[in-house]
Amino acid sequence: MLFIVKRLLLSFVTLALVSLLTFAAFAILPGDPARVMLGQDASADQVAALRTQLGLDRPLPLRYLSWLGGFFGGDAGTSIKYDLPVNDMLADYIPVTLALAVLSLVLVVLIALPTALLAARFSGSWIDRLVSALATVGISTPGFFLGVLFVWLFGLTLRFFIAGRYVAWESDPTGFFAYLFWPALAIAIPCAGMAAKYLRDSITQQLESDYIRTAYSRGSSRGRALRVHALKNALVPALTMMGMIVADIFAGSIVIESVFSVPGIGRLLVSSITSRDFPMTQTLVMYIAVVVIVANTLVDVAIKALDSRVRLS
Amino acid sequence: MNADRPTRPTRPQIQIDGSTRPTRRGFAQRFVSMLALSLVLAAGLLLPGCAGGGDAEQPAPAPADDEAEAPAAQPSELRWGASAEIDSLDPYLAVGGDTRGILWNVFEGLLKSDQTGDIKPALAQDVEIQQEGKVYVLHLRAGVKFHNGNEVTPADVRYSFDQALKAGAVYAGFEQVESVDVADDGTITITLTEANTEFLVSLTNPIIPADYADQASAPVGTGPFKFASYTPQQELVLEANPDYWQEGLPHLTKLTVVFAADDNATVTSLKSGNIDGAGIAASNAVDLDLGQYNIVERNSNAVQQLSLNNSYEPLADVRVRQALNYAVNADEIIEKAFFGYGTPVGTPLIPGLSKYYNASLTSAYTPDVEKATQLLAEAGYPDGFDLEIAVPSNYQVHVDTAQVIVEQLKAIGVNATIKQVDWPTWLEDVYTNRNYQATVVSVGGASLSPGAELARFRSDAEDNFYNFVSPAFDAIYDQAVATTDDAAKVELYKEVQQIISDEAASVFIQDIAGLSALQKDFDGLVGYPLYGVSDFSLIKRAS
Repeated sequence: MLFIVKRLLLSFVTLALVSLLTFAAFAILPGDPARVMLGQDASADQVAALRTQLGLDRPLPLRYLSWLGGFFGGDAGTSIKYDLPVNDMLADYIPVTLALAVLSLVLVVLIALPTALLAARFSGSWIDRLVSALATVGISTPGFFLGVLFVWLFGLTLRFFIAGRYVAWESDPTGFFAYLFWPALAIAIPCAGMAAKYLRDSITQQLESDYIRTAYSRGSSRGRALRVHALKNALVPALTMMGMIVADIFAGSIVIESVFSVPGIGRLLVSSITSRDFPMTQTLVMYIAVVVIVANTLVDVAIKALDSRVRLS
Repeated sequence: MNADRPTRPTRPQIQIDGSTRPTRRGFAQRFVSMLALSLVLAAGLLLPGCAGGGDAEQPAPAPADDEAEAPAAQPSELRWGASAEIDSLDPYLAVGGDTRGILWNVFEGLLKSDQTGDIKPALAQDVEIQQEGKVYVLHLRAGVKFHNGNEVTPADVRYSFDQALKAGAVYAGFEQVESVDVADDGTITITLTEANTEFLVSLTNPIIPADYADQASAPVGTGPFKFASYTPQQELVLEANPDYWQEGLPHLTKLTVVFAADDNATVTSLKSGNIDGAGIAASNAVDLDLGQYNIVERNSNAVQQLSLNNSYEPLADVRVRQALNYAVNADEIIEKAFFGYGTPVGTPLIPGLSKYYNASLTSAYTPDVEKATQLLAEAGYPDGFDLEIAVPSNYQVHVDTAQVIVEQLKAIGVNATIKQVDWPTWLEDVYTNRNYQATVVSVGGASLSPGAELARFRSDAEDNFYNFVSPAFDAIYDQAVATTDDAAKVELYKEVQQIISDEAASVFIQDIAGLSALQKDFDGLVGYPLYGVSDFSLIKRAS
């Protein structure tokens, strides 16, 4: 119980810091949303009039406080760029990015787990070296490069999908996941490389420990020792990493969504920063921070479940 | 793995020889089954991906097939790509050139520009200019309907002009209106404070239904296409207006504008068949398959320039600015960064305003390194100087151009560096605060009036981000605006351009080519001398 309270408090402090940092970035960045909206040809008077209309004539700290109050009261304000309630817009955009993130995470597990097991089972062999080499290539290939590559290879050359034609969930759920598969794979590969390498090292380490030898002496096969004893313990450090991977996946989706024309919060975040849409940017950053914090909390709980030595206090 | 070995009973063997290694086979078997499970799971995920891909492949070639089978009665949809988002669907709030180019198909004014830039009657059936351009009398065309089915009434015209007067810069020129009188018989009389024949252009402002409050979410106009739906960052769907007053137009039944994150995503969509056409950059045009697309070239109607801050120390000397003009080679820029597409200019006025455009200035500064070096030496910079060029990073064309310019300036000893800034930063630091040395950007084309286009060079102009000061310019410019004699006006406008060129206010490079690619299944794409306008009503399926 104490753990949960502490955890909540810590999350709250983290969120406050994140929002302060975003605020600080906006305070430093030059650029006036009213001027961006009206363009070069508008006169200073017109820009000033729009600023008043949008409430931009109030000082930024004041706007920050009113946004903060609204956010915790459940109303994140109105987007400057789209002139729509931020919450209404996010209701459309967040599920898309979440679907992309979950799909990416599933792919990371599907790729990383078997390859790590394979490499650990044959540690030191050519299989291990191959997996390690592939993992290194995966880690060092940026997701956006893979995205561009996939668009060219699977979209334009092999025609597995129509590049750019995003399918909305409402119109065709299967088509939705089919389209998201490629961007998800592009996001997943670098993370999977990292996860596979980490998990493999962790398993190999466990396989060398005393309790495994005991298991062998009791008649366990290497496979059984690996699955029943080593894997569970090896997952503990790997799970810690999953928390980081969730953050990575969100970071990756920001660029990938633009490459694949997916209307998620990543693309929305980029366009709200370039239009200096303060309420929208603040809210998006907060939501992403919440997701990462929740993911890390879940990871901690999972570790606790796996390893009774860990005390969550 | 030992796949070649015969399978054995799966029970693991107990090792009694002290070795800790279990048998390979036992593990291999388990591993195979584990891997198989993973693969099944993965395939479960992969298959919809592939299957979806297979399905998705169908729609792309489909339109062509449909066309071949039933050429006539088929509904025809055009999917058009756009990189810039809509900034507002309300024509009196929209300012982005690209937005207004699209809305141009939904809304119309009393007058309308044709593809040569001539102003023709639209919702007015005629226009009469009185008192040398001080008074304009128009008669409303009878029986024209809005997309909501209501007829256009004098009250709507009155309301629209009120909006135009409020909107100011969006529809430039209304600041000179003294009064608008709309009689109930549809006679519209507009009186200006002073005569100005350029005002005709301003009468293209959209006519919208009176007191209709939802323009921003469900726009209603009289144009060839009517609004169907809009999803931000995804698409804008327009449908043919069945009651359009021009018989036989539009040809298309549906027009979907597809928004991509950037130019690259747009070109990808074009190549994948997601869209049928789009405005594209020259660098993309050269690697499109010309057997599949028609490329239409037209001017973008904005002058790309190396804008110079005339009050920044080395640039304050006219000889230095002239030296830069001699050093920058527009032809080389067009060749290297634009693959040969583009029209070199020597003035801030767009060539599209052909009557006023001073074409002779294009050759005013023929590239000449020696002359440039000599001018620099005379100005006291024999060894050149450092120059920081601020470039808006969202415009790849300007970044590319700046890179060529940096190389060209090296030849005269000017050590130029590029500083990329994002667009809001550019607008604030460079454009509004004039805190810069030089910048590469495109300016102009918002209106078809030479007076409005050149106004920013007046010493006291709020948007004179060049800090250009020339009493001679100010005096002749004021005369040009005031005169009602057409021939004199043309001469005076050419003269002020000559002053800008002599004073080397900046380096005017080119009118960037606006390229559009359209699949050969369609034709009828024509260019307009207005920034961003594509007239979709003329596009039809190729027969």
